[in-house]
Amino acid sequence: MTAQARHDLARQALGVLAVLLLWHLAAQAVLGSYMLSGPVAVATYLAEHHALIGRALWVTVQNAGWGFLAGNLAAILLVLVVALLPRMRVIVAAIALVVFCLPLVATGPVLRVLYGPGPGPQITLAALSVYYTTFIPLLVGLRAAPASWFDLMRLYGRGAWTTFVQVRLMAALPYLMAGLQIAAPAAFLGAMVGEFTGAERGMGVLSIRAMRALDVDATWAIALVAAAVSMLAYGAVGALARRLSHGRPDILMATAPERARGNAMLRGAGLAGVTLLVVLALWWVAMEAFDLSRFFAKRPDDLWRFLVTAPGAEGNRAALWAASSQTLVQVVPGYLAGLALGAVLAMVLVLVPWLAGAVLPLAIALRSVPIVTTAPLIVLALGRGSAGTITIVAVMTFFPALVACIQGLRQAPGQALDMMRIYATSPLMRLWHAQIPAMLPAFFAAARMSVPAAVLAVTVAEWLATGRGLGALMAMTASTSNYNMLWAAIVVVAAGSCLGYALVAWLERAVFSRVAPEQLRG
Amino acid sequence: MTRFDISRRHLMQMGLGGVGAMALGARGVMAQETSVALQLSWLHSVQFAGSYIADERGFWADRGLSVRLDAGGPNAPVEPPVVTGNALVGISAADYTASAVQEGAPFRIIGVAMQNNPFAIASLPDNPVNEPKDMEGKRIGMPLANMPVLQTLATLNDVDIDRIEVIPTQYDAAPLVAGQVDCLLCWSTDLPIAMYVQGIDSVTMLMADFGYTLHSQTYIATEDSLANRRADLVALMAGEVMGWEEYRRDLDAATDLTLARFPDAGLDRPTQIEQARRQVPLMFSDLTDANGFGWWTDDTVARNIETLALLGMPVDAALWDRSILEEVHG
Amino acid sequence: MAEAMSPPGPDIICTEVAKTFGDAPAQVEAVAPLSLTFAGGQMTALVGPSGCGKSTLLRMIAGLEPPSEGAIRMGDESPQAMQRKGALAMAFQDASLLPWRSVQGNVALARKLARQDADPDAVAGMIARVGLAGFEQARPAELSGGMRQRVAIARCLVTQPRILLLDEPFGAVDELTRARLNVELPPLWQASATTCVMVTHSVREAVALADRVIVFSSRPARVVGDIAVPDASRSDRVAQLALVDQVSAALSRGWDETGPEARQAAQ
Repeated sequence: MTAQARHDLARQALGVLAVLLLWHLAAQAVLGSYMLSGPVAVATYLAEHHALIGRALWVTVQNAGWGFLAGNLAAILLVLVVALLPRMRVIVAAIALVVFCLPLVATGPVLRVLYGPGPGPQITLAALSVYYTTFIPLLVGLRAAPASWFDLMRLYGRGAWTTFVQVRLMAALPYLMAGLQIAAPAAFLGAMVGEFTGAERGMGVLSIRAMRALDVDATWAIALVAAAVSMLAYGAVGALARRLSHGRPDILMATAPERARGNAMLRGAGLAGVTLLVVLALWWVAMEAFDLSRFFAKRPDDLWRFLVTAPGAEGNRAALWAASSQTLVQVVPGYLAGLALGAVLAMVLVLVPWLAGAVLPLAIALRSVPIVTTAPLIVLALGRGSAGTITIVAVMTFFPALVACIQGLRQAPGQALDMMRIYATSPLMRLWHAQIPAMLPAFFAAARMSVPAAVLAVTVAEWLATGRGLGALMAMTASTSNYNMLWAAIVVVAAGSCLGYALVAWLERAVFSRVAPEQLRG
Repeated sequence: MTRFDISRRHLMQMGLGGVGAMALGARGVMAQETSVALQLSWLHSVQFAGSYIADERGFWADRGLSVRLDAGGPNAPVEPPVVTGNALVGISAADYTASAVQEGAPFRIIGVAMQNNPFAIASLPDNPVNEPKDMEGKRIGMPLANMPVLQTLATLNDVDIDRIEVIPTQYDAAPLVAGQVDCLLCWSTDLPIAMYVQGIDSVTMLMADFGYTLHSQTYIATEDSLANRRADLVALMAGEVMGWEEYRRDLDAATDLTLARFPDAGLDRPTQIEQARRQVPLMFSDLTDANGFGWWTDDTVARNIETLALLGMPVDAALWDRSILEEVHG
Repeated sequence: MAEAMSPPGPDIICTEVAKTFGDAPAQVEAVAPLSLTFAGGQMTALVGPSGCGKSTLLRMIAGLEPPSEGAIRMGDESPQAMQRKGALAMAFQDASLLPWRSVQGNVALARKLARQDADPDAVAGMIARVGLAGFEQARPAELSGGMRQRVAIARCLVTQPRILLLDEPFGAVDELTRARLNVELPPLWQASATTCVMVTHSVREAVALADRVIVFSSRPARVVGDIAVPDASRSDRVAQLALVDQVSAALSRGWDETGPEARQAAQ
């Protein structure tokens, strides 16, 4: 071990100790309030119930594993389709986004009815939570090769398949690994949410039980174990990636927007229209194919009646609008605050490099903590008002933004920085003129991917903790059988997420066309 | 305790699977055994102990029925599996069932496990809610979707609902204990027990004592099943009735059975035994003593219809169909 | 080896070939209509100011860009037909090696892409001939820039192409290495009577390697000089210097003939 490594290890150990101490002090301070359980109590609980937790963990990990496999396989298949039929790229990506934006709260019960008892919904929800974060980097990765590699293939008269096998596949490997790394904790979260739909065992089941039983030690122990496993999964896939890959992708979730031909607005509207049609068709065909009962599996025409032509349609629209606006006023400030804090902290860390070494691993780790375990805890600590929910959304947005921005800031070309050093420019000037522009692509990539994540966070918080807004509306249909409202809410959430995503993408394009037109070249 | 100590048999069935089935087959039961499912309304717990007893003691097997008990959960719907036929019977509640019927589900209530609704207002002793009037000027924590329940209670007891501050929470006692609210709208059989087990005294005002009459833990089946699968429904309900009667006879054994059957559910004995105790008065009454478990009368149905009307769910008495129970108890 | 006996590569005939990029308002004319014939078995060098369109012409010959107008034939065949026969090879400005393949893997890949049998001996032989014996298992990241270019040339030649296209193959290496490569590598393709077209910035390189030097004006490319390099000049330093002067004069003439706008655009 080198002196530097020993030094790092010592610093990390110190950090862990400090966190434990703070945690202990905080728990002592709120003793008896049933909010926070200290490290000793959590350790005691784990020691006493290790067999129970172990069995539950094994069940959830298995389901998460199968979901991880299925979801990533689906992502790879989708990418294969896109690679071989490049014209389908935009529309496949759009539909993949729509499916990714379907709220877990609502898809869970539908899947349960489809599958009946068993691990089906858990595995499917895990798969649904991972496929998009693999699909997008892979899509970028397949194009992440110098033009001359593609020329080389064409020079010998070779087509899409050979190019795919010889160039794209290997060029995409680092991107695939980056996607898989994010997917690992997401699969665990999906499996836990799946357990809320009527599983007999697993970490999700235990966490509901602990929360209802006011068993704070158990709640925190389960949350921490879930978090630890998610972080481990993240780390393990990362280690595997370093072993397998020949290089790291330049920017995580790098963006490669199409070069707009003709009117971008018109194209966007056209794409949205086609996507809408395809999604409506898929929705209707899937339900007819599975012959799902109209009692809960509403078709587009049911929703049209419910929201437009039925006698109570106006009231239905009003209820949906009220819940949507409740959700909106919490998700937007949380999202913006999370992004801004992430970017600002990243800049601070770049100005104070020794701090970055300590904070970055922590931030990467915290990014993988499952939201279902943190949401109730944060609301418990911050109260039932908007503050709690906004904080949850901000936390969900903050960590990906921070990690992406730090990586982005490091993309600043070394020669440009050296050039500035020659003129003895201040670190602030270097930040402004070289590092922030270099950070923008990563920042926007994180901003786009954070839209569905923020919506997931807000609906989960509303469902599990605050009991208002769209999340609660969707969850409560189980008692009111108002499945029209459930599907209407699904549509609102999915459409809203996609719209937000498109808005960020539009903003990204507008910014780049001003400051860095070269980024827009596909 | 010894009477129900047959969970070993259950474990054998689970572990040996086919072997257990063959042993049953040798008894000649397997040949005519029909498989059905009962969709529970929540995670496995002593809340459904009567069903576990029916299963373990062969009350269903004796009638040629094999019943799969499907767990519910916070995000698990009860009504859709019954509509689609995935489950023959579901455990719902009068208000949930009424909503589903309003939405076009062809349901009938064929049994009532809880004569009295467990909805309650829980509060802490130094700031108690002993009667509905006490809620005025207080902060109540509940999911917003339960507003109709609170409104109905207020209307029934002449409470000014505008003087109650509603704080949206989910189903969790922590906001009350942490002082974020003064009272909670919850079931008397869960959050108050959680506080009790944690050593926190609480005051529980049962809403059923203040005019909020609603059947709960109701058995629902589709009209189609009632017409075409009567024998299965009778067998299922007969097993339920016997199971719950055994439950009442020995709560300790029922609790132990539940704990043994679901070692992975994270159940603890103090909570489960307390819940087992507290649900007894909700399930058994003079009415059931006279007529049998699950029974109802035109009078109780009429009071249910009144409450449902206040909740904005007009239903008529035909929603309740006693023919299965009459066959069971007849 | 067999190449000594093989017939010379086919002529490359460009008829009224032009290339424009982009749509109507922002259209850029990269190559004005050009008619040129590159003689079979000869090495022709294309020189001209940066951005004049010579690389575009080369890419059109390679069949990588379709001409906006006109046609390109190689003997009786189209570039695409030559591609499918595995009869084309091209070296790019950067070596363009696949980083996950070893030296051997990169060279072998060309035979596979050209639908030729694996022939490990030919691969090993070619690696040895470019002077990289012993480095067969090395990854591109472990090689110097000059070594990578050697691998790229080996990859081009291992398929025994009839047409060899070189797009500033030594542009990215230092002057000394470039001089060495200029001496060591040309005999490899000169022996096989392949038709060669090379784009280069270096007038000296063009005169030293080519049988004929074509000088282009700045964009859109027009021919402003077409200078034959007699074999005799190769061993005659004075003759070479004269040729260099001649090409340079043509270059600056091409420069002057274009208007200030075009000049600006070319910069």
